[in-house]
Amino acid sequence: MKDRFLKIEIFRVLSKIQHYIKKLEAKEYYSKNNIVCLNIHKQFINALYDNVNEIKPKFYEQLLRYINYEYIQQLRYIQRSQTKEVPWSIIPNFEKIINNLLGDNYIFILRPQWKWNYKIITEHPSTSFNKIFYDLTKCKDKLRIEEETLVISFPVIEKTNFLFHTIIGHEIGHLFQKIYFKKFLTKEWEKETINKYLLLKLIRDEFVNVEQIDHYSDKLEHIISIYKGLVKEILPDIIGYFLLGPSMLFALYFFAKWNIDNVKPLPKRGNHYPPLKYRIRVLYDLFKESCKENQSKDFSLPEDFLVEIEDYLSDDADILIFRAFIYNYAYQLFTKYEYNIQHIINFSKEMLGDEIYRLDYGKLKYLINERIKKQIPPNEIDGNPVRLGDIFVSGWMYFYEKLIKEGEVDIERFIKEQIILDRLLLKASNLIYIHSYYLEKHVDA
Amino acid sequence: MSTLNKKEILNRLKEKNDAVKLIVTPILDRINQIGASGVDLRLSNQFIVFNPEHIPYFNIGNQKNSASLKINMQIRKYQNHVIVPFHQSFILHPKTVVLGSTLEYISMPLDIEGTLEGRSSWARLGLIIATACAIDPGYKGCITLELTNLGNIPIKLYPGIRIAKLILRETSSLSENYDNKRKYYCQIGPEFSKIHLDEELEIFSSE
Repeated sequence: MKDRFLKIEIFRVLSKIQHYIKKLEAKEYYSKNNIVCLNIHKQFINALYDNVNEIKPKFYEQLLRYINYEYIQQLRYIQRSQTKEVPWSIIPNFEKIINNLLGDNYIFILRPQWKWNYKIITEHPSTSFNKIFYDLTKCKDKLRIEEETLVISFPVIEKTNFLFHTIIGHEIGHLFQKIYFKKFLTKEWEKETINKYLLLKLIRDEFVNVEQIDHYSDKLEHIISIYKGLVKEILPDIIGYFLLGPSMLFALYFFAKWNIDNVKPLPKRGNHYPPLKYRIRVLYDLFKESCKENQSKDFSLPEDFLVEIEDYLSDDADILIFRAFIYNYAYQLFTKYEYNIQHIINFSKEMLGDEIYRLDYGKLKYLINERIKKQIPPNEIDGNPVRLGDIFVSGWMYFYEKLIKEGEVDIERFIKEQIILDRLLLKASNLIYIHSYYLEKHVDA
Repeated sequence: MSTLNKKEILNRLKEKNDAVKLIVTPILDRINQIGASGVDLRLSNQFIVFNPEHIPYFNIGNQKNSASLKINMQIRKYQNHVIVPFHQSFILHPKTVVLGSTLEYISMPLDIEGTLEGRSSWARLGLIIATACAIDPGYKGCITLELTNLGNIPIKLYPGIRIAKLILRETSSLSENYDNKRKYYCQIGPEFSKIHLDEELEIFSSE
């Protein structure tokens, strides 16, 4: 009786979901990715519906729980990513970057969330759909989903705040951080690092008796997790920096302003977040380095901003904390050991290839002075569309110049001008996509 | 007041002096878009369509009157903003008006006024693109189009197509700088009417 009831319930719930997916298909999305993603859901739900008879009754309850409590909420990502809810003009540009770097199998969806946060969800559904379907039905060939979906969230109230969307570059960086972890920071590496490096250091530095070493295993794991926490956030920052230039530095510095606790590593949900100040320090070093590399010696940040950021970084409380206590070991791993910051920088450069943003001061100066200041979108120079990074960097430079220089601001006017700035940058983002596309097709034709 | 020809338009685009410089950005196809007496402009991918079921009539009148305030709130419901991805189409049905916009962002010199005209190829299909088509000297922004299909069959419009022609005429002297106190300024897509902001309305509409 119970089995029969549960089986009917499975059919009922699945058919409800089929109906809901159809409703979602009729909505407006700016990217075809949303429809591809809905198709993935459709394939999964249809395959389950068509093969309920293949599922052993002992799994019925488990399946219902999975659908009602885990699966169904995934559809909200698509429901919330309708055109009107998202900064649609930036989507094709980021899609292009992701596909150039990772191939067409990656489906990128941008969705708003009420909590003020940018976030990426990569454990999204394809892999688990294939596995769940196979585990339940043992039917090998009836479902094979190949696309990987990644959902990037942005804070709902910042929809039109173009400059904040720089953080999407950091979120894309998490994809590469996962590759880095898989390639280098394996379980074997962890063992080796503990045995060959950390243990020796502990024995030497803290006079730990070799026989007591077992008592220190928690401490060693803790060090590894602080180190991983550093890589987890700083590698995406570096990727974001290489994709969108110093705008990543500008954005993090802006957030540091209202993030009071920005000098200590923050333990959060089992992860150790590096201090925001230290992240800014890394990006600032990178900025100075890339000025040299790109022969942009004449490139400078707005002068007042430069003074401000150098002053901010001259207080090295973040580094002092890293030199103390247990953090010191993690910091040593991050700065001196094999997989140190330089290794991460080299890895990031190798991964991004031609997508790396090159600083060109002349170009930026033109976009700021001849375009943004004159209330024209910074979308092109001499008939050629600029890169997405140019729009972000010129927008941030203009913003800081205005904000810092003006001192006391007339709030009403400032907000009005901010709205105009957002409009200009969003328009530029819309235009560079269609302009590049047109030039590409025109040459082909 | 003479109409600018191709050479004069090109010179205005190259001009260094901001007061007399014309900006049309982007011009995707310089050869075909700049004609003998104007610049062809393209259709953007943003539209405003209307849902009349939410509003009984327009009362642009006295803003202090609570009934008209209610109606002004309804005006928000009346508009439906539609964004069409490039490579997809927007279907304009017969006898309907929608607001569209030029893809290009314009910055008008202080000594030039513009008018927007439909391209004759579209007019022959019954498509009217603008009725309020004067553009002031110094204006900056995309231009809102009032798209109407006067024909009997629906017209499929693709964002990016050339839809209108901007005709430019010199004024007798430089105008004052156009500023952001204006009702329509730095638009990047179509904007709905702001006629309720007309100051004189208070005088004429108090019942």
